[in-house]
Amino acid sequence: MNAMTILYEGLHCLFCAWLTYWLIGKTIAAPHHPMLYATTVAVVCLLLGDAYWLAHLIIRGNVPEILSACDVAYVGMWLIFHAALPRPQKLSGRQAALAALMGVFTVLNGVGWTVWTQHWLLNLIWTIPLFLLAVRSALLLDVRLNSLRGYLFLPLPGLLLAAETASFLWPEFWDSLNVLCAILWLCSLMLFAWLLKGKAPFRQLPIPAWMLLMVYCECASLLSSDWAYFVFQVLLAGTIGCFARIVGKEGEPLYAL
Amino acid sequence: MPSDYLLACIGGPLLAILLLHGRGRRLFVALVGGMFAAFLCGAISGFLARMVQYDAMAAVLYISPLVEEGMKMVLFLLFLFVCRLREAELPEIAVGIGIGFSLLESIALLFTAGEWQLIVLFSKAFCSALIHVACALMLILSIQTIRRMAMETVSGYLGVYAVTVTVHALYNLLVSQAGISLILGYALPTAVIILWKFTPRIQRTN
Repeated sequence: MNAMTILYEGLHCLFCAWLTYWLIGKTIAAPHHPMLYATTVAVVCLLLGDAYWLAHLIIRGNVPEILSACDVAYVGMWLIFHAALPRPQKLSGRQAALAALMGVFTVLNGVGWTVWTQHWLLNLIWTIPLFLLAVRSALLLDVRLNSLRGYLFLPLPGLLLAAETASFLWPEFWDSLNVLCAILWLCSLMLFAWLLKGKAPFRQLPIPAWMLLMVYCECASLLSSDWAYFVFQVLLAGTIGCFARIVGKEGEPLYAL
Repeated sequence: MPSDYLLACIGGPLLAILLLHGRGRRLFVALVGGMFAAFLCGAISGFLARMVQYDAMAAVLYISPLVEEGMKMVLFLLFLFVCRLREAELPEIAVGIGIGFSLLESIALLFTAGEWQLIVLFSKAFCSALIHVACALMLILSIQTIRRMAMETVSGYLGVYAVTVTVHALYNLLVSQAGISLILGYALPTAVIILWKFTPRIQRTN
């Protein structure tokens, strides 16, 4: 356990504590707003997971074992986000195509985590809520994959799959492939955000699109190591922070998708 | 957990269930339900701990919160769907289940206490009641909110379950060591109960 990880977890915990405090104030002021309530509970989950991790390190002198309360809390966050999304009413080909893409993407990530960590149960528990959230969010979005943005984005997940597979197959090139994977993840994340936003300004990104970005950041961080892991975790925290700010400030209009 | 503990404290509440009607009876049913749940949790946690070869401390930190909160959740859902409770009755049921749960744990604590001072034993039993009631309240009120807001129920319930498991596990972790950690541990359920008591007042003020 290095100092960088402890510092990061401490700062992350402080950030979540501040966000929780702000969101609880907003929820008390507007108690019948489902997405605000769900976001508050989800951020509380994140805070509790961080607090447990730090408390375990301080009290027991080591990090929690696999499948501890931390994992339960983080998985709970994704489940709460999924619970807050409405059921899709009408299905079009575009929605189905994006949902299929995101479903395959999260399942392949789950396979990658299992191959890497050898913990199939833990990774199954992580993959299911991420898969559900990604698919439902995609079903609520009207994104054209057969556009210039789509054509630019689509090769990148394939390249990522190839690079990640190569890093597992040839461990002697692990370091250089790791850097390549991190760059590919970052490029694909930016192109994905560009694809999701369409022609509207970034601040008008609909709620399911924010959810997809969060899932993407989580997948990127879980398949990265060293500095890349922290970069994607910071991006995830930033995405959750932006999302919470939008839900807290603009409220109900954004819930109407 | 030996069945003598359950038999030792179930007689009085059972008599109350036979004699009372309405809300009083429901409260005692919740109490006895909590005791049964605690009894089952002891057996299930012990079995799981032996299966994965965890020692007592690891079982308390990693297994007990998952099993205990899971049993409480099953009990709540039974109450919610079988009894069709009104919203005002939910906190009573939550407190009943939490107290029943902690009552049986306190009996078990008494048998294994050894040379503890009376005041230490009392404070441990009191704080055990606090965490069980706090988690029970969190579960039942969140479940009700999820139903009221028409959210996706299964993932919502599981998400709420995850929150209570983490709070319970954090409490178990904090009270496992003396000093400031112990005080923080006891403060955690107290803060949850205070928040529950004062939230309606803050909402009215706003």
